[in-house]
Amino acid sequence: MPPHANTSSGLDLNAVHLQVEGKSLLTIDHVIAEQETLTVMGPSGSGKSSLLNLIAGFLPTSFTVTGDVRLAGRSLLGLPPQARHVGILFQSPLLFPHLSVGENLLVGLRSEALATGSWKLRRERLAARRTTAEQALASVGLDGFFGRDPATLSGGQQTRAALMRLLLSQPKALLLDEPFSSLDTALRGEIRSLTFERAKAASLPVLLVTHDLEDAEAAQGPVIDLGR
Amino acid sequence: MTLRTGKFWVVLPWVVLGLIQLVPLAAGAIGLVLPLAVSPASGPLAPGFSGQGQASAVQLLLAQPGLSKSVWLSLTTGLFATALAFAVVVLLLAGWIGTRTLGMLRRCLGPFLALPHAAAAIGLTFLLTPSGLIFRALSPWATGLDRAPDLTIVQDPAGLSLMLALTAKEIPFLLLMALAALPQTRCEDYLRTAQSLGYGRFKAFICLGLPDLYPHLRLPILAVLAFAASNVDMATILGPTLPASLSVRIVAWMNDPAADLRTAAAAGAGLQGLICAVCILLWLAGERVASTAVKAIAVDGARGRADRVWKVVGLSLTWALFALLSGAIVSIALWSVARGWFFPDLLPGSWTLGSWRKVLLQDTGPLVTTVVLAALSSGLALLLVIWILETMSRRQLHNGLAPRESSALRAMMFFPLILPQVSLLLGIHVWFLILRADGTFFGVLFAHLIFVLPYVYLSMAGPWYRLEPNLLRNAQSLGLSDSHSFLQIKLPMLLRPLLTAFAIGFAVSVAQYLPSLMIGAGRWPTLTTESVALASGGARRPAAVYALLLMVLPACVFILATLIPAAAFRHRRGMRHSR
Repeated sequence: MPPHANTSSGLDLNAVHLQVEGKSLLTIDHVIAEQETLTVMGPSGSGKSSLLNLIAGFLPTSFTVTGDVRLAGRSLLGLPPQARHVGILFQSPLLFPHLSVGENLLVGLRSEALATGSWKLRRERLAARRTTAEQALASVGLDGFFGRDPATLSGGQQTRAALMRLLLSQPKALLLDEPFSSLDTALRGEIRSLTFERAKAASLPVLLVTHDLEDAEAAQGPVIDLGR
Repeated sequence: MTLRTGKFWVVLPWVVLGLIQLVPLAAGAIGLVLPLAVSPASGPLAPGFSGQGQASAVQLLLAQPGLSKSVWLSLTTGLFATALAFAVVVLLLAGWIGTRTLGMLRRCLGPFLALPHAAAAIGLTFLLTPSGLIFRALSPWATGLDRAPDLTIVQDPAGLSLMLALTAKEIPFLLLMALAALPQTRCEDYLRTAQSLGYGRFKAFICLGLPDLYPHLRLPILAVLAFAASNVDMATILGPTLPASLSVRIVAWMNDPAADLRTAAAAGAGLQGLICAVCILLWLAGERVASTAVKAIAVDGARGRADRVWKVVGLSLTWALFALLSGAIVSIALWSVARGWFFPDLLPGSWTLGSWRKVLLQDTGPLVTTVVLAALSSGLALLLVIWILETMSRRQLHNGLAPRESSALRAMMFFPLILPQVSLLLGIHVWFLILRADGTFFGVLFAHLIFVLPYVYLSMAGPWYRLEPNLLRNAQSLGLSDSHSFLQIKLPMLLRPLLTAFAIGFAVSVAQYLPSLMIGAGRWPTLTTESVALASGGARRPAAVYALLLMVLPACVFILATLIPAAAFRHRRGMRHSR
């Protein structure tokens, strides 16, 4: 086993071992550098989703975990999900259905607290936030979609909006839970390269979970196959 | 010919359903207006009402002292109790969705759900009065009292104890509805998404998860609202007296021999309907405001922390209210066997089974009536519900569709739950008077069926539509006829939910107060009517026995409903966790 290099940046899966009900589920030891994508493949039941849940903070307490998960040098285990700064794209885009597309991006967008300051200041900040969201939409070809109902968007458009919502929340790592599997083959490649390109631009370490070989190839990074 | 009989069998359940669901509504509405609308010349249409026309009925009502206070009480009790119960459920869900704590709470719900409102009210009186269990536990060491203090706690003029009781009693119901609806929503997915975007549990749930869940809760909430604003049995025991809330006064006027007061009761029932309508409109307006506010807060970018405090607040409130209900149950049990029980003593000084002997061996009338009414109304409701579900599913399967619940049917089932019972029953009562069927057993049974049917349907529809449609298609492909498939596949697979639905119907019927009281004309006393009468007359020991039986009877049926499928499927692991 190689010694861990560069442990203070990137997503460090340090000798992570997952057990459930006494049964060993998976072992992984890898540092995902910034701008690198690690692909984890394997059949269902191999623990891929549990690995994502562990990193994102959604693992049920019935699991036993040894090892550590560190992001930019800080251990994530024990932190609540909202304090981890780990963004996750699920299999479906999960845009909040009661908000417009643009409002979904606003939910993601981090900025200074709005509560303080005068009404005028507050209005200016709200306007600035809206402009940021509109620009983010435009950057993925969704100009003018701010007020649209998410339900009226195609699958590809929804995934793009979900990606931007995620990036606006300024994550420090990106987890991809087969987010391309629900898309048409033609669209899949396009959305995939958009996602990788944006993640690279933001210098994020990326963990991709998939059972699609094409996804793994497109990620151009190391691949761990849990099935073997 | 076959086609015609086929059609007949498809249409018939709807006709029967209409008879039970829609005719009472129409009859109730007309029955309410009839005693008012009759002209002075033609005399009273229904016996026992003064025939002086509508104007005078309203005048008679308005002439009642303290009417506006009664109306105000009904409005505030309904709105505050519902809002409080909803708020506690939201706090609890926000803090604890997806945790073991919530699973544990869910397993505790059973006894509180099975506790009828009348029994809860009786138990809370025993618990909260100055001579109740709480003061006994604190006296004399903490309070210094060796005599029960002269305080007004229950029946306080503002109706606070009534609101507290309603809140405590409705939380288990709303929580159950929410937990049952959760798997049908994507609420938990949205919560995870929001959390991974950096949001704390509370902002995530209230602004981003709840909007997905709330539509499933709306009808149960409105049912709670209408119930809380028009409830009679709890208000009789715990509510203020001079004046009482409107629904209690309507029932008192009804039972008054004076024709004038009975006419005023008819007008009052109309007013009660109006009060419930106002409550519902106010709630719906509140929904609008809240939804706008929630959206504005959702998009402001603030991540909202301070989770831990609210988590503790939500859980503590829930446990406190559950503790209150548990204390009520304990108080009932103690009083049912107490002989001498002097004030500061925590436990009775001497015990007796005399009250039990009397109820179980001597005056068995109310007990038998209750059991027969509950078994018949729940059994009939179950038959009807299955009949309707099967005819609808068959048609959908034959058209190549997977069976799906009809939302129209579901909404229709909620009708009798969203209307004030006292108004609906008063209208029906007038018809029974005209048809000279008041005080008959079948009249009472019919009145029970109106309120039992919706609950049986609501508990049956979920499991019915969760049956794997391909399993049924498989049965078809294997050459099983519809009836074979129904008898040999569906019914056995649904044994557990069928029995649960029966038990729920049974419990609902046992808990009914007004149908037995208003349609039975005093000739069919049940455990509920007797316990309320005894409790408001201050006869604590027999009231406690009746109240405890109100809990024990449905509990026995629930236990049977669990044991029978467990025994039947003891060698079938796949049937163990079907709900």
